[in-house]
Amino acid sequence: MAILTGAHRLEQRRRREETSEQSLIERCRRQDAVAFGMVVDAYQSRVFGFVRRMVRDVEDAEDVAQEVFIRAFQAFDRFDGRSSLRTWLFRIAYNLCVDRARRSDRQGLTQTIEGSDVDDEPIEFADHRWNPEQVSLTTELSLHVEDAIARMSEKLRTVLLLHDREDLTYEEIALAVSVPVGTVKSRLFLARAFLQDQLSGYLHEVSQ
Amino acid sequence: MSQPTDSTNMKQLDEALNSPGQLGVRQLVGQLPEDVPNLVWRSRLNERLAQSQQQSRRRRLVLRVKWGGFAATAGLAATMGLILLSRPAITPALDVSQEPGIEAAMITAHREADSAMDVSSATVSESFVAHRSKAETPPFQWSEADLEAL
Repeated sequence: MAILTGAHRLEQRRRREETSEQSLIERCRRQDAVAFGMVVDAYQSRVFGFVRRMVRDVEDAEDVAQEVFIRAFQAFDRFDGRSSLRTWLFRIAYNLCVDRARRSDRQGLTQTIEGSDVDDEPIEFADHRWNPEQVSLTTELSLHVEDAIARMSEKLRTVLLLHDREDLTYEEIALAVSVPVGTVKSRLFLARAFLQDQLSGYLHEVSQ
Repeated sequence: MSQPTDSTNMKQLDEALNSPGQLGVRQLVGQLPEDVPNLVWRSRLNERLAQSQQQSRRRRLVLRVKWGGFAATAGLAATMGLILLSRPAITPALDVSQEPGIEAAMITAHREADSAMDVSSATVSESFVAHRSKAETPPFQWSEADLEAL
């Protein structure tokens, strides 16, 4: 009975949240600045974090993150609700990051966005390289992780951040990045394997 | 391998993604510190949003004026069309003369009389007078016998 009540409460809460997000979306469609401010409050950290890890230059990242919300505000009447609001925002963010990287690439400022064509590499499913079950994230380790993520190709980085950092589902990522779900999974596997390789040296030193 | 095609590969991939090593990386990435944009960033965003809202309002106003003009013209044209369409149609009168019956007979008689009047004009024609004169009874002629009888 207690479990049923708990499940019922959870369901009620979920419905309340859906309703409140739905009403927020409706207000945003009518260009309600206050409602949109609430959307910004809810997602600014996540969008900013994603963009900052996708765009190397901090000032560029700040500019792109603002652009994400401005584009969303301007195009809210075209948001059809087929995907969730966060998927839509991350899709805009991803596209803007790709655009910015291409523009920088044309100007010869940064390296190519595509990185290596890791998608074409065969996947070795067996995973014996690293088993960091008890690894805790210290400040130093987090710097190493950030550094390894920055060295990753843009394709792998996008999927890794959206899945492991922002908790988007495979289907949501596929929608945001416009690739099949299978590709999302293989990219995620490769991204994690890359990170394992990059961190194994550091973790080996620490353990000794 | 860019896209696992068969279900076996997909199953293997799902298992591999759930291996301890892969889940460990997921945990590490998930624990990375959150990036909170500073107040200057937020304030600048609010400014840009306000500018964008003003621009979109202006654009909508211009659009509304343009569409208003277009709608008024279209409305006027539609009204004119409706007026023209709703005018009572001039339908030809029913020609009863072609149909058998008393009405047709009456009309035929009327037309004949009418044309006769046209031909003969409004005044009495000489032939009519002559005909009438011929038809008149000649004046009574008293004979001598009659007179004696008196």
